[in-house]
Amino acid sequence: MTNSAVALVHHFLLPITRRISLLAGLCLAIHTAQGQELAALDGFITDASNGETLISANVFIEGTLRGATTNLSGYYAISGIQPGTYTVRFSYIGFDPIQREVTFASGESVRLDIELTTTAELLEALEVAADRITEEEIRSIGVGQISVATIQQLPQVFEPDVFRSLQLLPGVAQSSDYSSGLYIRGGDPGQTLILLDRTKIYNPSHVFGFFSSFNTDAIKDVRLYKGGFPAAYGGVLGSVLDVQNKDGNRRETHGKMSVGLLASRAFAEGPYSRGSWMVALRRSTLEPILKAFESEDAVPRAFYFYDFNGKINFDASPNDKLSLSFYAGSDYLRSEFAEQFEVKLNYGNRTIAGNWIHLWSNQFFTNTTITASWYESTPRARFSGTNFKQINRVAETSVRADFEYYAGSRHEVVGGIWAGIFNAPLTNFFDDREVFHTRNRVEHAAFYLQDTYRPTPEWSITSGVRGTFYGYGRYFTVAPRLSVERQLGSAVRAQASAGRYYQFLTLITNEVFSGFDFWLTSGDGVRPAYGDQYILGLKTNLPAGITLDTEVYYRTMRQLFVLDPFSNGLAGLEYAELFAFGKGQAGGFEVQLSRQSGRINGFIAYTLASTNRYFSRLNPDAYGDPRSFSPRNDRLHDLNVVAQWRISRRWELGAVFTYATGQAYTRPEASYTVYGARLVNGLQQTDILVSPGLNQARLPAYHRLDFGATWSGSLGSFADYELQMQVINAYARENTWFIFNEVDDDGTLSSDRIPQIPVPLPNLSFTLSF
Amino acid sequence: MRIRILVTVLILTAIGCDSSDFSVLDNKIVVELTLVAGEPLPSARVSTLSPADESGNFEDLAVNSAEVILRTGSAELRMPPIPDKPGSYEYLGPEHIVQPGARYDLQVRVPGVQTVITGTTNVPTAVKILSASRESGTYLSDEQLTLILTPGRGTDQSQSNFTLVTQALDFEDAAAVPSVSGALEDDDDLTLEDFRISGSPIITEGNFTRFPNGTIELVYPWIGVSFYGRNIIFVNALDENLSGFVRSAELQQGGAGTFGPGEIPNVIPSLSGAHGVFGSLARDSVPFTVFRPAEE
Repeated sequence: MTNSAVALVHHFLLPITRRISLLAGLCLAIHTAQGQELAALDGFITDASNGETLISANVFIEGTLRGATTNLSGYYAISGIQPGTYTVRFSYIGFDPIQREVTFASGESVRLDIELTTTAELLEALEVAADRITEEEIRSIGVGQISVATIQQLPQVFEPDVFRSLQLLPGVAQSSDYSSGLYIRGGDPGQTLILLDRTKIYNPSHVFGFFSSFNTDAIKDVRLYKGGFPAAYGGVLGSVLDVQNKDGNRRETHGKMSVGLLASRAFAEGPYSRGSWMVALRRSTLEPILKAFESEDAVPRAFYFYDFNGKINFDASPNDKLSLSFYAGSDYLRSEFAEQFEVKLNYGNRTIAGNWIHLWSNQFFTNTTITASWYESTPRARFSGTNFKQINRVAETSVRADFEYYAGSRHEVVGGIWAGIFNAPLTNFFDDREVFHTRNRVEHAAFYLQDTYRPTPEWSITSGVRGTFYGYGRYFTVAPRLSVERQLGSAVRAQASAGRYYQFLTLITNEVFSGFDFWLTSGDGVRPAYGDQYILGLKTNLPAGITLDTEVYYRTMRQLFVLDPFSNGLAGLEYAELFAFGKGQAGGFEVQLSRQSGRINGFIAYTLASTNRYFSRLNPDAYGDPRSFSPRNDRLHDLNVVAQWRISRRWELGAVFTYATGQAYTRPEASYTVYGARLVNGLQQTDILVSPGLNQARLPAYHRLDFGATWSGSLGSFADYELQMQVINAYARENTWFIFNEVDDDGTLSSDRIPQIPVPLPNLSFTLSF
Repeated sequence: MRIRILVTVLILTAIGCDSSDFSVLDNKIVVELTLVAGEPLPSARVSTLSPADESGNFEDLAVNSAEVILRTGSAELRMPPIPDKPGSYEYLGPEHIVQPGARYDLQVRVPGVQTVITGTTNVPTAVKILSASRESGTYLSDEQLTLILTPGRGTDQSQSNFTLVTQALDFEDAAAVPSVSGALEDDDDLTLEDFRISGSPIITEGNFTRFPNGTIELVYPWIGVSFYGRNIIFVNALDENLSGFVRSAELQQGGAGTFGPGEIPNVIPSLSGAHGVFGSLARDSVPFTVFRPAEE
């Protein structure tokens, strides 16, 4: 009996959890029957300083052209290795590479968990090992990434912010200084799936969209699939943001406290006998400022936000890792805008995720998660004795199980299921009476299967398919995906990707204020939106650690459904009557020149792009047919320059410059007045603006320069400190947010420019780490 | 020969389908006419658009030589211009009462304008307030006015679209409710007259309790009251044209909707070949006296 056969029997004799590995064992047996001498290598790669798993670290068996990268759990596996002795190299940017001599006997499976140590140079420059970016994943097609360390060092408005940092990447547009919304490759924020520890977040914003709700202290990894994302993800047309929380330090207990102008943060992490834990808390500290200005009309009577992240890991065995992570965040506002006009708003998210990673064999890895995500928004207003209230909830529970099967030297198969119940009741009350209610309870299930085939070390072909069943309307969709990579010499890699994507939800949002956001789903008479994406990429390694990444993309968006803004309220309508239907398309060219290490590092990102929409309800031509219009986020040119310069051990400077084509807006070219409608709507006269079409004009170009300086040092052996001083909009550029039009008393149309942040805005924060 | 015919058909088809060169701004004429069921024909207004960079006084924009014809059934109601009222047109024949549930077609010809302006409205059936729970109530108290009414609806509508309009009869500074007093204090541009008549946004039939006999219950919200004292409350059932106009006009002012700042949709057109509005409504009214709360 071969070793693998023994292993197979052994599997059957193990307790119930082991028996589930039947599939893996069978696969293994089939495989070894075809090539009995082949060996395998697998394990986890972690940061030696804190035990955090390293995502996308590289493993390479010298002399074989065989290699792998760690997955989101820090796990790697290489199979199909010819018996013999090899030098295996483990590497990760910012860490000292390690080489190990490994001898593989015939059919032997070697488990090799590796700890990498940060290099001395970067130990000074960067804070935690979890923030490193690898070469391999960042260069995958459609993927954009920015390290957490960079996010924390960039000059930003009041708070380090994940979304605002991502807006600096090519292909990601910002809508205004006041919004952190992600407009990726022509899509709107609702077209991006946002995951925190494999759990969907439905409204990841604070201050009504000004910031994202991710606390950078708690985050290990931020990965943005701008397009062409693999079959493991679905349910959106555009992109995926996958955020991983830290596991917590497995070596020693650490803490950190930060005080800023807007909010303060506390963070702690540490080990315990069987694992690690992490907690991070952030809360706004605006109350003293609000108190000082409480006599001013526009100042809220109360406002705060908070978020809380936590994670506990339990290492049950070398092959079993369990974790429980949770998040809670909320914003509260109470304001009195005028006499007898009071508004209260409370909105926030809560999530919890239980995760189980299990190694069934050195070829079969599973990751199972049970998650629950809640979002609730309850805007309330009382105006002249009349109450307005909306109860807007999302509750989703789901189970997600993914497997990775390393089938020999040429195939890597991944697959999984993702099933759950989505419940999004939306209820409107007027004058204390319910006037609208939607049910939107939907059962959904998806499966995917993907194979990465590497016929030669130069070629990689990934094909996959994702099938989804959506209960409301009983839709079943099949979405094929294909990507091909070809290494052209040692420094250039060519990539191509194509795929179909479906979306079952639509985010009803107004970019000015995210606190009223709600979701509606496809359903009876409302088919899921779908679109195709095509991407070509070329990734080049230049001397001195410089990389040049270029991508060209084209994508379609069909059967888009948005809440019809012209419908007369929501009550009394058939479900399909709530919506306006249309389509869109987007295309662009992106280039990013980066230097990730060294005293001077940063990147230059440029995007040439165009996107448009066709909705007959929103922008009809003279015959009522849909006419193309540019959404506000359409920008022909978008340039971001990000530079960081570590001057000495104590000082580091940073700067961000942004230039973008002005946003699309509607410029009225004529007006008229209706006088006889007073007994219809109460107005003495109704002024009507007329334009050739929606968003036919452009605002002036947007540009802005932000500076930052960081001064750091130690308070003996007690703690390290860091003082950040930043200036946003250093040269006081008055960028235009939008144009407000009104008809004056003499009938003349006047336009007022509403500015974005018009003055240099200082920012200070002080952080103590111990 | 067949090829020639085919080419000709293709060219004609292409010309017929080409809408890309036509802009809504090519229509320069503005027409306004709102019919009220059960009431005599009102006057119509005809003018031109006001270019963005020019003064827009109605007198300067008025069109005085148009031909305005309203048709319903077999009747043709010609509305000639009123000599001393620029841009106004009025029916001068025997009194015509707008018929609930009837269809009216409007045709306007303007000298020098090739396009014939046309529009159609289906007048909602009559709104009838069957009962009112009270004749008076104390402001912000539980003494709200509850109306039972038969909803009016146009033949092209799946449900009624209402606006509630409150006309104050005792409007004066001292009678203004606190929210109106505050607004007048905060904004110098506002006058008492701005609040004399106040209206609601569109409210659909689905917003209210519907009874099996087809009647609906409407509870009048206090937000509609601007002045203490005597008020008349109108319940308007709007036709599809007026509903679209009111709703889209609200969107232009930054009303509810998913449009971003600076994204201004054109109003939903109710006329072919012109801007403006041609619509109809049915309405009924009740008096309601609002008492000042004791603590004020």
